[in-house]
Amino acid sequence: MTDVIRTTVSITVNGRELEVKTGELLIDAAERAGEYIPRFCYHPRMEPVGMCRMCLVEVEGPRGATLQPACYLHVNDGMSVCTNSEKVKKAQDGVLEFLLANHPLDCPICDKGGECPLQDQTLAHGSGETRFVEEKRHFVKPIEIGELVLLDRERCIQCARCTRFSAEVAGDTEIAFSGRGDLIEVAPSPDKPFNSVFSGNTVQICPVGALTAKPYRFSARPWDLEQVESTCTTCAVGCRIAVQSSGNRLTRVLGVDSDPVNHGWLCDKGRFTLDSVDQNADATDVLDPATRMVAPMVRVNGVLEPVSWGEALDAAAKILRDASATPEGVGAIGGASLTNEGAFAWERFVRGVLGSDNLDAQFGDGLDPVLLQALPRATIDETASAKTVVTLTGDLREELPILFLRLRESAVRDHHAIVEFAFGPSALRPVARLSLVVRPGEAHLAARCIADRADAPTGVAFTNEELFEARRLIGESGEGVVFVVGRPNVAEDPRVLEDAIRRFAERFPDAKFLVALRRSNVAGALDMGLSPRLRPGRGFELTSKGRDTLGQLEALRRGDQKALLLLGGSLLGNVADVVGATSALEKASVIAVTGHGGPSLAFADVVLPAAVAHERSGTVTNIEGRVSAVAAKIVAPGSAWPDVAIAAELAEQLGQSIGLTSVEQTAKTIEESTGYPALSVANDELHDGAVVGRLDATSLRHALDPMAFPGIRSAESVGLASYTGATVETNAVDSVHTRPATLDVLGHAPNLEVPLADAYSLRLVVSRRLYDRGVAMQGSPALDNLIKATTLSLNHVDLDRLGVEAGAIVRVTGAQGSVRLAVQLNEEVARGSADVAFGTLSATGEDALAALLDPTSVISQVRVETR
Amino acid sequence: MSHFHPEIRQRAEELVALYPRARSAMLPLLHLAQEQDGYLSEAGIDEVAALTGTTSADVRGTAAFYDMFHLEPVGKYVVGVCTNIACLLAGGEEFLEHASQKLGCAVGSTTSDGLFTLEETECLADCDKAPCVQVNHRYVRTTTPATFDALVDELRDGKLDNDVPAHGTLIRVRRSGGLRVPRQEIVDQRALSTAARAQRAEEAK
Amino acid sequence: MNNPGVYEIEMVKNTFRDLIYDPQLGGGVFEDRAVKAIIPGGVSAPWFGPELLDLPLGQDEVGEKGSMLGSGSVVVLDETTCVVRAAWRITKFFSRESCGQCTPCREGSGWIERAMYRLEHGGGRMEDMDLLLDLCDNIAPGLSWPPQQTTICVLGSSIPSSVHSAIKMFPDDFKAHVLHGGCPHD
Repeated sequence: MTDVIRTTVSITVNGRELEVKTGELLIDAAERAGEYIPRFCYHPRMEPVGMCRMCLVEVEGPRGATLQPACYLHVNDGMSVCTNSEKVKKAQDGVLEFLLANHPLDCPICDKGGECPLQDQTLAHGSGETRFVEEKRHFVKPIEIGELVLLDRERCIQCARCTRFSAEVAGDTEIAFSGRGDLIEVAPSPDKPFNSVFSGNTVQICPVGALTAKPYRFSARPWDLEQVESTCTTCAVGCRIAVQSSGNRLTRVLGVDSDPVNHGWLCDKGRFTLDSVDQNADATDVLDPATRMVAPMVRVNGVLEPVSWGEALDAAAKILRDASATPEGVGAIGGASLTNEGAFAWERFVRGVLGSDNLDAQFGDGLDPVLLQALPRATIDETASAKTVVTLTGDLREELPILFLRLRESAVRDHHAIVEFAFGPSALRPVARLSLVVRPGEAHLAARCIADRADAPTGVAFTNEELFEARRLIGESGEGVVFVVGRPNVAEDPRVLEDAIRRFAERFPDAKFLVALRRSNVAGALDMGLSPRLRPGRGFELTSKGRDTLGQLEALRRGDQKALLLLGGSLLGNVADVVGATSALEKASVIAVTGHGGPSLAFADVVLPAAVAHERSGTVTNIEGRVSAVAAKIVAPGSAWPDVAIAAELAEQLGQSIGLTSVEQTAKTIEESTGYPALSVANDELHDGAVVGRLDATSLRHALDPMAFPGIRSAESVGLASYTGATVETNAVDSVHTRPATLDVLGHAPNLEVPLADAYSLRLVVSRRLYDRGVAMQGSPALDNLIKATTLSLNHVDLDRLGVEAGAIVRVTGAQGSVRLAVQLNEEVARGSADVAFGTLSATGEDALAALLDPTSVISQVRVETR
Repeated sequence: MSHFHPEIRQRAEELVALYPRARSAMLPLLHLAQEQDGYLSEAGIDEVAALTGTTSADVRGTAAFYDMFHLEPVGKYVVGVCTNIACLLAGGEEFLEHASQKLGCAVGSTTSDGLFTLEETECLADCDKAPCVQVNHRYVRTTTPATFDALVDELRDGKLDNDVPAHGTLIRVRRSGGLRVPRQEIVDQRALSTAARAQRAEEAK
Repeated sequence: MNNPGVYEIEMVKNTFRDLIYDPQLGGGVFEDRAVKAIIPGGVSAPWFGPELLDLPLGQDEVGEKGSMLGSGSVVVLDETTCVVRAAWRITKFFSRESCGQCTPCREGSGWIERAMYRLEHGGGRMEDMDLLLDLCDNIAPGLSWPPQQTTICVLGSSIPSSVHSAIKMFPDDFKAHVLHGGCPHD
């Protein structure tokens, strides 16, 4: 007899026979068959609990038909279910009446009113009159349970969606049910507010108005909101979002359930920093990232003065013309915050019009893009379903929060193994199967030991046991293994990580790689050729002698390069060596194309105002290479233009053309000239974008249940509002035309000389935080209080060795100077190393952090003194 | 850094080691925390969270479920009066009212001297001695206002310190060594305690 | 009772009357009052009237008559007892002890408790009896024995037992509460 694994079973629902997936939940099976069963506590992205009892249906059993919750029943062959009998209806009506008994009648002043699952179901099924004549349950009206979330306990229907999200999805359990019976309430610990970076999700999935978001509260009514669907570009995960506005004012961002990407979740930075776009009318200081650039400006007598576009383009053209007179006199830095269309336009401008190969979308804090292009790539889904995931990244919850959620779910729910290269504190540590401790300058050694089956050399932080376990989990060929690679430490020479990555790629040919660079659309900018040795459509040109960001800054300091085109204003907020970058900008003629102010503009000679996220349409590419559409919801302020237009006009001013006239036509050109998905994606309402070169990773979109995703208008939300009239025949482009890079093109691996550890020094890890002083955060007062002060984090062994108490202020001395920092105890910091967060100090403080860096060495070492 | 006294901390660690998952030790650890502080302080909850690999919100939510855990400071003596059906029929409600008057505090509150907290409880499983009263979760078998008044006076005067230890105390005899104490030693100490108690009763006569 | 206590007796061979009146057991009702109702096995059990005093104390015998021996704690309500007050207090127990997880138990017990309290304290309406029975039906559909349930566990389906029994057995007591504007026993 052969065992046949059946993938479907037959059940009967209301007399109709259905073929449904083996083991799925009755509530899902019935819904797909068009028998929608009402629900409150059930959420398709969380484990069912069967608590609210709204989904009671009659199920035939040995003792006759009994009422059972459809969300808690897995289908069985032959199951017979009735969802519409009198008994079912009475039970469901009874539950609804019970839920309403203590629910206040404050719908007219409730944020959820108009998009409330409880309101909607009451309207559809509820009785017109209440039989409840008792005094309703009373609590103090909204209490602040976190920096961003308010709780109205009277409205709560105890569905546990929020507490389950906190424990099951986010894993940080900052809120839990407290009490018993009808006095049960959602509560954080009194001295630990609900400040999870995922807190906004609980507001989104709350089926009543119990949890409301402080930034959105009372700002609009749902029926006044207009919506477009778009892609979040706050980090590089590329979560699908619904962007809503009231008139030309952005009001809210909600997470759309994209099956291959974010499952409906968002981090609070992505959800709540939208006020950085349009709510800073008062800000006028060009050095303040909160300030929007509303008019072109030219520096006159040392001061930036608003001018017409004509005058500004003329001034910019003059700078570029003068600088181009000397060979290699110009270059461009930035572009990670652009759309693919914007990046493609500037690539054409710099290479085609200026004739320069000096361009780079990374700020020296990333990795060798040719290496990245040469790696066999994994999608996020492939990573989340890999039997073993090896992370060589910073703390993913801080860098790419939704990728963290996907990996955490993979480890906790599916028991996949995470092997973590533990460079410092990491939220994945509690769920990782193995944390292989590596200090700065050791990652490549650990990789070699794993690849070559060698013992750990003396003096390193990792052990032979850890290496053995890592080898076991990775296996012989790396099949079913995904390496997630990023830049965990900007104080370490990137070649350390690059060497480790390459070693793994060569040794484990069946393994795949997920490139976890964190910044916005950096993947799209690189794919559009914004790097000396890259070309649009994932092409490459190894012979290029163009300068990357650090090379250009060096050339500017030397005077070899005269002019710099800044694509986005955040260079000084992101480059590690701020002192070096500042002296480079001081010497250069700088043209800044940016939507926001920033410290870099202190050195700008011309400012060309650009439209930013939610003001422009186009496409972006996420970490896995998924190209998806971004949409314009509001009109850019003042006379800001989209980047394509600025690049095209500037080329005209120089008497040339980049051959691009609009965003649509640029998207069309990208697709036709390189095969890279662009316009087809922008017009595709059926799929969740398209993964470059991976037709197999195409994923069909699915409709959103308003009970699970209240507030999102699923039916009218798809597509790009601004792509009016553009039509394209093709869907989901199969592959790029350009020849992909391979590991062979990389040449010899560099010889890295890591200085020996001395007993008095600590190796420095400069890691990234989600809440930093970047452009998005600075323009968002809502999140301002969540930025933590920069500290020096040390293991207790080093604290004891140095004789320092946690909380003490110490003097930290590096290669170029010293800085005073408070000491924090953190056992996740490797012994012999020290962790400092990047970008959380004030602008002046960053200069001080730069003092700790040693540009002459593979790693940076610091000394700590108590005086 | 530990909020727990060294001895409590040691017993806590031994309890955690008893279970395959540290989380399972949460309730016993909460009893320990309450034994030390008389109620569940914020610091005590934080320490239980750290010991069980959970979070303070999680521990607090669990503790808040149970009537025997107190999240706010309570009196040295927590007096519980049952008013459930059997006690109701035996005058439990009137008894509770009397207790409130005698102690001088409302039901659910603590006397101003911090000595007594009065609670209305659900069934205490001693229905044949209704109305049922407990002090610090020990049956005191006072069923009339007169015996209740006498009990309160004795407690206030400290005469019953050996029989009714302060709220939160789990066992009358304090043993060093925690869970590693041999069984016989526990039996012996319990016998000594019972004998001492009998002698006090004899002397009282 | 004259002799409240814990008694170990043989199943089936004894009746409720034996348990209540045998001098070795209950020893009769306090002040020789008449039995108004018996709660056969804890507060979750539907009540019996005095007509079932001769029912043997057996699982099946009690089960067949629509209740249970349950915890074995037999409570006797004598003729002076207010059944509204008794049923209210039992419901209050369920309301306080409900874990709060599922809606019918959490909200139903609280609603019924508050409505019963209102009846006992003078705010009763004639329609409250039908309302209460329908709320009970929404927790334990059909109000049959053994009960069906809309709740997760059987604590929920135990909530209706006392209220349902009291209304079915003593409707006049409820009416008297409404007409009297509160408890006639007070």
